[in-house]
Amino acid sequence: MADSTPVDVPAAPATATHSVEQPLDLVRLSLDENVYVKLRGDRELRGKLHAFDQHLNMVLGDVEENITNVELHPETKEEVVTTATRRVDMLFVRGDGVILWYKPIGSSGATVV
Amino acid sequence: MADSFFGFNTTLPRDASPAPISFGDSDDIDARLEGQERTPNPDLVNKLDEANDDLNDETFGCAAEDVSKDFDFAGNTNSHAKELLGAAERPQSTLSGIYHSRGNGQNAYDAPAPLANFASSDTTARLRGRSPLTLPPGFDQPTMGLRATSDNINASGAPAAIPKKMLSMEEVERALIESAKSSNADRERQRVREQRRVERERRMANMARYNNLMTRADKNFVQRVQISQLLTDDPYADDFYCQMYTVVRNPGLSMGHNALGEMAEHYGGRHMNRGGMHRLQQQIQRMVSDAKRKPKGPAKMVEGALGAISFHSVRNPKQAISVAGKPVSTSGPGAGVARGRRESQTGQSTSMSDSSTQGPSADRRQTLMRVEQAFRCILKLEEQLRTKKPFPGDVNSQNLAPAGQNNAAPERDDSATGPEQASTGNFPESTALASETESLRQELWDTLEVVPPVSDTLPHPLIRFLSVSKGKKLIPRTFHYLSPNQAMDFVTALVANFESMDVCRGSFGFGLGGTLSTTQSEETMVFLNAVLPPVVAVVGDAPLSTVNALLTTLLLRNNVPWIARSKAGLALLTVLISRGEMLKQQSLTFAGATVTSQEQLVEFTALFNQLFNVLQSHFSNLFPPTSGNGASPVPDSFGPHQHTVPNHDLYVWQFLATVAVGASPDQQHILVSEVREKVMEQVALASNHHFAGPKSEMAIANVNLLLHALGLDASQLLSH
Repeated sequence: MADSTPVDVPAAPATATHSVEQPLDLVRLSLDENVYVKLRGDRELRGKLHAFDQHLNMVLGDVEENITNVELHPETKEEVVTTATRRVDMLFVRGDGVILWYKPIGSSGATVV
Repeated sequence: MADSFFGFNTTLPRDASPAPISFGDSDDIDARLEGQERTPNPDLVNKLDEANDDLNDETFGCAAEDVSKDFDFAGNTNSHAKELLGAAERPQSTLSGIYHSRGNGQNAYDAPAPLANFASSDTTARLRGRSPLTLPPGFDQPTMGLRATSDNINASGAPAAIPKKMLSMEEVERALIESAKSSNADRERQRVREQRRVERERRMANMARYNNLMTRADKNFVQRVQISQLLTDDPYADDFYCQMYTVVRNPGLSMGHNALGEMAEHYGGRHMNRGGMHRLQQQIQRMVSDAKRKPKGPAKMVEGALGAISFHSVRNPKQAISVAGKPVSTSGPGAGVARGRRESQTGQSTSMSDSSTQGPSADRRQTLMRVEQAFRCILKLEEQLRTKKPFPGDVNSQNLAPAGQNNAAPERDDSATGPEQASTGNFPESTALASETESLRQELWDTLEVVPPVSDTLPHPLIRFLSVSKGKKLIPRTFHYLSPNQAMDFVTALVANFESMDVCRGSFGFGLGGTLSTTQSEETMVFLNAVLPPVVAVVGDAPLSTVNALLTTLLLRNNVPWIARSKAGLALLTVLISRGEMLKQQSLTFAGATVTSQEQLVEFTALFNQLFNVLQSHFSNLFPPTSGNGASPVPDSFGPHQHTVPNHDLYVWQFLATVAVGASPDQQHILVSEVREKVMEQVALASNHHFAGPKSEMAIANVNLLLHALGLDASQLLSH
């Protein structure tokens, strides 16, 4: 594993390690764990968190992306919801699209930012 | 074309027949261009000011045409530019290939040209291409578009008179025949060379238009703007992955020190000469020191501007949300809660006053924090390793030896003591570095919470640390910073608490028929790849007394059948037993030469017997269930996968073989009777071609591991 810590928040000095003081400290604890990320544009990601920074830019590994698309049927005017799923080995996520992020209960210690 | 176009008579006066030289009517522009380009024009070339052109390639790039005059910001270069542009038209004009005659060529008849000169040219095209050379000097150089001024330019631009002889038709024909004989390949080679040279000259001429467009200072300015964006005081913070990549690619290269040289090389390009490179390197050095002296502000007020321009750069990114109210000092009262929380969690105190720390998720969070702290220590230590100035007798060197080299450490210790002390005395900064390293290593060790090996909190803090995969992955890097004693403590604590390791918590074995979950097998893989090798290194160097102590701890504190069910546990058992066996064999072969005492051998045998008794009646259950139903068609129906079937139960056979080696005849008998069924099953499956080729071989090889240890072979079973 190209270890993720060097990309970590440079703003957090060593004194911050003993406890959770910033929201991002929670993210730090999820390094190398599976996380769920909700993005703008009705996209969701599930994957292993390899690295992040203070903008919540993230590098995720072994990602499953779900894209939900809602369209109005041209004739019936009904909403047609379609979801597309794709898998990506390694993904860089730009932080400005992140709406919420959490560690699923399965990997213990659910944390919602 | 020749006659009419050139407008003069090319026959020599002494030639009886005044037949004009005709070069044929095909209008081979290329050949002509070739010849024209070759025309020496020393004057023009001399006019080019090449003094400051070292960086032209970099400044203008290859596509010189794309460069506009944006960079012409020095007013006084305007005048130069005009001049030069005017002059530059001349080499361009040669492209047109239109010959302009000034009129008479009387002096052309003066001197005879050596025939060899002509004979060397090989084709009609070439002859024609070289025609300017054979022309009398009175004829013009090609100066299309400059006819008005052609007179004065040509006066200086024409080459010095070369004595030429006009040839008769016969002579030309003879030359042609001769040239036709010369080999095709030769011709081709020459042509390619010629083309290349022409192309280069054309490029140079094209680029010459921009000569002196920028002064030296201009170029430096532009370059400074470009490079300053790349410079950084702390390459490890700003450019970590590149730095690490370079380190990995060039081991032994100390980073940061030659970064300037590299950058100069990059910017100077291959074409830069040594002097230019040196200059550039100096310049970069100057820029770095400048940047250090005055750090870039976040904004700049340009004179006369209405607002401030704020910069965002790599080092100064767009402002992140800053969370206020962060406690500054950990020793202050504000940090008391955090501190207390940590201590209550880490087993120092069992009473948990803070309600927020209770529950499994808080436990896990605490573990994750410890892992992160350990990561931070490791990263700092590794950074020190990279950035420290190397000098002989390094303070850290003996501590940085991997655990596997522990034996070598004491000798190195002695030899290094002298210079080490001298150096630490001479370099105060290295002393400071050493003490920082020492404190980091201590912090790392404390974070692991290895001691005491038997803790009153369950699971043991070390086991908690290893329960997350990143904790496991960190172990090999951690071992570099542990002293031999600490490494031994680590192994002891691990062995003493092994049964609570997550890798033992498999849902398989004992005939339950469950399969390993994905995460479980992943964790097992991580354990085998990351944690076990350092342990093997420690145990591999341990004397029998230590092995005995570890085995005692293992038997005393663990449910051995439980840990033996798991791949990781069985691997650990194999490591311990095989090390003991090896030392036993050694003491038997070299009696008296080893440190192993008789009592230790007796103790080991007793421990082995104890282990055997504990595992008795479980031997056949050690196999993972997947190999138990090997008779089912499922494993073989994978088709494409069957050639890459992983060796599921190799580790079990290895363990059984290890046990068989150390077992007494009685114990061997018990062992064989327990696993006989399994052995027969594997052999039968292999010989009945139930398995595909490679899998069959693998099964036999596995079985042979055990049988060879017992002095048997699978072929003996097959024959029955």
